[in-house]
Amino acid sequence: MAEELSYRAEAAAEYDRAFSHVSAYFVPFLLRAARLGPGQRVLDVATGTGIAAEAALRVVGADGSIVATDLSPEMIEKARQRLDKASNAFVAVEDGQALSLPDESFDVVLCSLGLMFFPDPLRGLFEFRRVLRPGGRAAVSVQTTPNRSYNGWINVIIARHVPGLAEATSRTFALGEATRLQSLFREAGFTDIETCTEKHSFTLPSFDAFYGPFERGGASTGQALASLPEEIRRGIREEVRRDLADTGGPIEVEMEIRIGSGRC
Amino acid sequence: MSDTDNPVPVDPRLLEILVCPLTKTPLTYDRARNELVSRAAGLAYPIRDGIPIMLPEEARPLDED
Repeated sequence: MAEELSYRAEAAAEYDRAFSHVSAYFVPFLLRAARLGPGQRVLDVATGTGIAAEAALRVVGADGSIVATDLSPEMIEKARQRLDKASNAFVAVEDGQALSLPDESFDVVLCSLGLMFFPDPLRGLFEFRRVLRPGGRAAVSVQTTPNRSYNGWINVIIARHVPGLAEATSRTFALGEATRLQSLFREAGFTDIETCTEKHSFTLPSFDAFYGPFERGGASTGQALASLPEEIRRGIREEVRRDLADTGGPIEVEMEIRIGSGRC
Repeated sequence: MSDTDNPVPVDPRLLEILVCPLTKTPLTYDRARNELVSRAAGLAYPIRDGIPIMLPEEARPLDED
């Protein structure tokens, strides 16, 4: 389980190039759903390379603080580098379902595109609520469907060649329905529950600019690709190129996320 | 390299707030071993390169002492 959830070193290294601009684009919507403001104490769970934590740090300012956690030591090392100069930002390797943080110690809990990877998302939300002060707010973002995912649709193609990946891919989108998010927040005891949907089309200068980081092992897509023989990888590359109607120029890739939030 | 060779210091403000992820009880910092000790869980959580690893499966059972 930990193996499947934690990114290996090369995945963390290429993750930024593959996906960070996508994550970063959606972070402000997450911060807005969390009603983030100056001076707040923030916990960013499944911080990855620290993109949401860095953005939150700018909002909370010198009077606030950030604790950024991730299950993967490789990711948390990247997050530490990103947050390094801030004296009010801290990092720890943590399981989001069993946090080593005290009750009622945060104003806001964030989880950017991470909750769907939890083996038990409800347990995660219970933990988020436990560490929130009364009146504090948790906000999470999740992917909606493979067809409106930056790289989920590639995982669907790869899954035809990799046993087990189909199940992992469908799990990635298991929280995509607004009603599913709402019922999870309700079950975890949150009130004032809201969901919203954000969509964006990313334009990349070339097919290689999009696909290269995955070919070099970035993110779940890259890790799955790396496990395949050269010939199959080449076939997948051609299929992805065809689906994007690549003619050698800039390409467009759409991505949609759902944000759920609730008050403690 | 073991965890105790030239340990990178952890920010004491972080150590102050961390609790045991299993029992949610306070931890004590073992400076010599560079570990966070949970008497309640009987586990010592390692600190690697200044980053607390708060996972029970990575922790050292205390009865090994």
